[in-house]
Amino acid sequence: MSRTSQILNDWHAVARAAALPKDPPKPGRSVGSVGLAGVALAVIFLGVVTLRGPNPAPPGTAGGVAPAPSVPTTVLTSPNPAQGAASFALPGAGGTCSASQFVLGKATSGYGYGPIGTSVVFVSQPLRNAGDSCILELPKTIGVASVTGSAVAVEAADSGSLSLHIGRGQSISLLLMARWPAGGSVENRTPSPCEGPVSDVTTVIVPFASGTIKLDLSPTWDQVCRSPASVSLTIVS
Amino acid sequence: MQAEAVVSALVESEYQRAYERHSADVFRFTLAWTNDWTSAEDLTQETYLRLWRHRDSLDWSRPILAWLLVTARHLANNRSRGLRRRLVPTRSELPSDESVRDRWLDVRQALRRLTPIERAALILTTLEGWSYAEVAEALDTTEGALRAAVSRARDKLEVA
Repeated sequence: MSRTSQILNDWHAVARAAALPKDPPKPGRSVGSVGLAGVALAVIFLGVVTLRGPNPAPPGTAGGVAPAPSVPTTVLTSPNPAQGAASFALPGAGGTCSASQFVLGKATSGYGYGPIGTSVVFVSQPLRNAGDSCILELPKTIGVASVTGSAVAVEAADSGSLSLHIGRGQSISLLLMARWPAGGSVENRTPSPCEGPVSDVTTVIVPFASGTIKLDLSPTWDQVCRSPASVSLTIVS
Repeated sequence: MQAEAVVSALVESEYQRAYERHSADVFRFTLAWTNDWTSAEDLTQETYLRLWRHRDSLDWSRPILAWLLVTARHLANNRSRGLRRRLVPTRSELPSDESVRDRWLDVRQALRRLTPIERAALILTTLEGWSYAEVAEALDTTEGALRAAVSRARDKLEVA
C-alpha cells in the first residue's frame, strides 16, 4: 500500500468517527421551546387547520381538478391485530395513483412551535413514483392507530394542492402536521373542541386512489381529533 | 395563510433533512480544508447556522450540498483571515476517543504539508467519491486545476 493510500485510509477512518450533534443548530431557540416565531408558526398552522379555502391549481394539472368518478373504500384491519381485531372503513382518495406504485424514503419528523399549551409535530415522508404517471389527490380522511392497536378514521385538513400530477420517477414529499393540547392547563384558556380524541397515536394510514401507505410515527402523537381536523396533510413537490 | 404554513413547515423539514444528510459531508469537507478538528466542528455548526438564516431565500428544490460547501469554504477563509489578524491562538480540541485521537494526530501531521485545496481535492475526489466537477464548484476552481492539485498532493505525500 502506498504512503498516500495509508494516509487516506487513516483519514477516512478518523473522519467517520466524528460524533456530530444529533440536531442542527438554530440560533435563539431550541427544539421544544416556544418563542415568537413559534407562536407565529402555530397561528399560521391553526389557520391551515381551520381555514380551508380554495386550493390553487398545482402545476401539471388542468385547473387543479382531477377526475374522481368514484370513491372506493378500503377496509383495513388494525395494524396491530394482537391488540384488537377492530376494522374500519377508510374512504380512498381521488385521483389515479396507487399506493403500491410509490417507493417510500426515510421519513423525517420534528417539532414545530405552538402557543403555550400546544404541541405541533410534523412528519415529512418522501415518496418516489416507481410506476406510471398519475394524479394524486389528498384524502379528506386518514387512519390513525393508537398504541392500543385500535385504528380509526379521522378528518384531515388538506393544506396544499388538492391534486397533483406525479410523473414517472418523480419524487415528492407527503407532509403531515399534527397539533394537540400540551403543557398543562392555562388559566382562562378555552380548550379547543375535539371530538373522539385518539391518544398515543403510533401509526398514520394514508389512503390513495387504491391502497394505503402506513407511516410509523416517531415521536408518537399524543392526541388526534376525529373532528375537527387536528392533522394537516399536504404534498410538496 | 396556507402557503405560508406549508412553506414554513417545509423549510423546517428541509433544514432538518439537510443536516441529517449532509452535516457529515460538511464536517469532512471542512476537516479536509482546515486540517483542524475543532475548526471543522465549529465551521460545520456555523455553516448550518448560516443555512438557517438564509432558509427563506433558498431554493430548496435544488441540491443544497453545493451551497453548504461553498459557504463552509467562505467561512473557513474568513475564520483563517480573522485569526491571522488578531493573532489569537486557536483552541485545539481533539477527538475524544483515544485511538481515534492518536490516529488523527498522525494523519494531521502528514497532511500539513499540503495546501487546503490540495487536501480537499485529494480527499474529496479519492475518498468521498465526488466528481471533479462537484469539487471544482465547491472550491471555486476548474477541473484542470483540481486534477493538478490532486497530483501534487499525491507527490507530496509519497515523499513524506
